[in-house]
Amino acid sequence: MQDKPSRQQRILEAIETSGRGRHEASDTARNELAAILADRPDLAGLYERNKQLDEVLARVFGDVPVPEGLPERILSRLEEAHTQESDGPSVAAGPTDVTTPVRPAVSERDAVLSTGRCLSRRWWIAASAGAVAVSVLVVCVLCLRTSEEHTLAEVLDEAVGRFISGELPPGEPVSRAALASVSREIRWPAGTRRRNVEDFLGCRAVAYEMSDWEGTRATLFVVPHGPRLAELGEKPPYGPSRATGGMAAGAWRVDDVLHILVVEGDQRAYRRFLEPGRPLT
Amino acid sequence: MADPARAIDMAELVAQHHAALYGYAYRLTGAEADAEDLTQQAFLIAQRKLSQLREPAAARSWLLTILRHCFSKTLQRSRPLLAESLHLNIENIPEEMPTEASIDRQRLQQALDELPPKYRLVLVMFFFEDCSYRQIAEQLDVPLGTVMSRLARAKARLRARLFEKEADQIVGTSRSDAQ
Repeated sequence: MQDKPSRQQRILEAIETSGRGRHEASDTARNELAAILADRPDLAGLYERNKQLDEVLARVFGDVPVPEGLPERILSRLEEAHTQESDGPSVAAGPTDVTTPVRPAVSERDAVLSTGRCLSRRWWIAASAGAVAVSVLVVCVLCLRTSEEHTLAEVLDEAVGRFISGELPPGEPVSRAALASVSREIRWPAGTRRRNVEDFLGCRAVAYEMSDWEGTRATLFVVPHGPRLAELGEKPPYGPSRATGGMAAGAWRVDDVLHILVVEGDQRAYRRFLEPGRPLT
Repeated sequence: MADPARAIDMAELVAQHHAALYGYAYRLTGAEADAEDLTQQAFLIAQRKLSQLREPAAARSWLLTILRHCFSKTLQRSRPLLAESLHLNIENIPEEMPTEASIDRQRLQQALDELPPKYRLVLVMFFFEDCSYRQIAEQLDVPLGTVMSRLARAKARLRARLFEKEADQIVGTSRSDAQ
């Protein structure tokens, strides 16, 4: 049926498939289409509307809400599969592998290159983790001299104030490995960035700025040797210590490092940034 | 032995691309549970074949290709559907351009679900993956003309379901010379 399309069918198909700024119709169809569009302003208008509509539809196609916790479930399943592969005969690599290879099989040379890339990646991960550790150490040393006593209200005021204080230069990207070393209590979204804060109640601190898939913004302030607050637990509070003015904030202390999470939104938004399944205070 | 570099890379891939893969899978399957299964399956395969990913910048496309292969495998096990009701019709392009907000997401997905899977696949590749029909033909190893035909008919059907009050009327009044 589709082997010998009529001229009109070719034109219609060319109009439909050349949307979204593409002009890839076969030469015949394209020439025919160009000639017809030149002679038929009504069709030319239709063609333009079709392109515009395609753009709108493309954006709607991409608008799919992601279920909460999906990345965690994927990672958990990957870890499980990886453990199985490591522990015994590989189930995944056996005849049950139903996937058509999407790339050619890896040659010996490619394997060598791949190993090189892997080592390079490891080096960068180690280097970035090391850089974070060094910067935290420097902050610790500097804070030892400047730490003062403050109340929880003052600490939250400071953090919320900085959070809403307006546009700041964008921070630098941080690897997931480095973020995991900062806190395992936070559900770190992709694209989290870090920025030094020179004077957080007299201490140097680091602000980790993030936004989740809904676009909700949050910042975790990490203050080594920050103010000592007796009422703080070692885990993030399940409910924010403060939830007013469209902001929710909670603080906790791990060893000598003060953490303050400030989230744009209510209690639910605040909890979305906390790693589920971990004991909270 | 676990390979920490590999685990970290996969974690980054998941963090960066899980939403795109899930969205792609949802548009193809029309069901949340199926979409999540397909997404997880794609990442599992990606984990095993990670060394094949040469260019990190191509990760999204690579993962979507894996997911599409997984989806195609499920199609081979499913009952084939008829495509006779799909007709070319460019006249159902609305006069007034709809906004994103005005498009009913549920109707969109219903319209996709109603399409025969092969038509649905080219439509999702075109709109979601931003593939040209030439790329679709190459990826699916299908003649260009077939892709053009499927895409044109699928788009017409989608518009009919989204913008016309009586979709059946559209089908009935479609151009007979376009068949």
